Amino acid sequence: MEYQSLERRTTPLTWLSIRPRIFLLYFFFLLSVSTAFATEYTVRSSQSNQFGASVAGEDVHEIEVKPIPYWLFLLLLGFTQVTTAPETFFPIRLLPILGGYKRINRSNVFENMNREKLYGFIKFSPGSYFSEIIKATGLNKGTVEHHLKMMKTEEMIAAYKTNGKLRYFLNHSTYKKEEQTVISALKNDVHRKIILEIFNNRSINHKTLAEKIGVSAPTITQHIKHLKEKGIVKTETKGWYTTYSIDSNYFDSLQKYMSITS
Amino acid sequence: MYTDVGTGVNWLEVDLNWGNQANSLSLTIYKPSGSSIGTYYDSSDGVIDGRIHIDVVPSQGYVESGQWKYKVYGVSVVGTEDYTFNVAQH
Repeated sequence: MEYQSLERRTTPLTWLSIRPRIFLLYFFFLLSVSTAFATEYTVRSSQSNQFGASVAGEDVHEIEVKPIPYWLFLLLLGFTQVTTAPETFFPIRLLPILGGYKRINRSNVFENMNREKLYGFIKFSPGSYFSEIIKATGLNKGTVEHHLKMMKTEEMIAAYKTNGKLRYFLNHSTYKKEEQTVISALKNDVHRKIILEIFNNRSINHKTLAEKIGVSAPTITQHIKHLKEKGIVKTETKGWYTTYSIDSNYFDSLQKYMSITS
Repeated sequence: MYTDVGTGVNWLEVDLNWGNQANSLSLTIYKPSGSSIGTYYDSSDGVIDGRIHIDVVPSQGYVESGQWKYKVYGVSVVGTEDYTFNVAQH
């Protein structure tokens, strides 16, 4: 008798605690089904140089391009994030409230103002190095060291060593390897000048490059050696002349971040 | 900007042309579902000529019909830059 009454009291409680979990499982199941059947797209350079030309006799119709108010675009973008990213819809820190699924140990990372300040600085100045961060944030060395280490452990930021300097970025998924390399290189004044000079000229020889940058030829050699090691610059020697060009793998990253200065 | 794409379309031809290599624009393309298929730059079509002229090809079947959206962004622009933007369905 005692057991029966106990059972009656506990069953609804168990159901109540499980129900949010079932709801979430169902939600993620629906999400995975919808993404599993999504069409993937590839992009290729257009088959014809002339816009709207038929390639193999197929019908071609130009479609009307309609303007979209910017505020509406932002709204739609926000809606997209809601429908495609469960973590946006259910901020990860709220998950414990919904069903106790995941207790995030980095949820308290921003409870410290200094840490938030550092994270914000790295976000807006990717590729900054240690002393640069100290100078810009006004925090002391020990504090910066401590919080950078903590954010690295929580995988909120990543450090990337280049030219003897450890440069900091937001976590690994934020920047591709090529982007990290390019940003790091552009943060160095001379490297930046060299890269942009080569990029703007498509290809340039050693002597001309040294003249344009305003440094000696041996100095250019040193810098080019570094940029070659990083894979950004490639060289071609014809007879007496060595010409430099940008490796095509870095075109996109370079165009994206070329406005970055030291 | 957006376009209404019909049914039975094999691929989309997208052409953003600003003609000035000194300035850099990017183009992000969004499917009707709202997710992005990628951001493209001058070099994405294999030529640096102040133009992004690409075909968007589905991995299988036809291009999804509905509203495709496009965002043009001035990555590095001195002053202002005019452009033309056209989309065709094949």
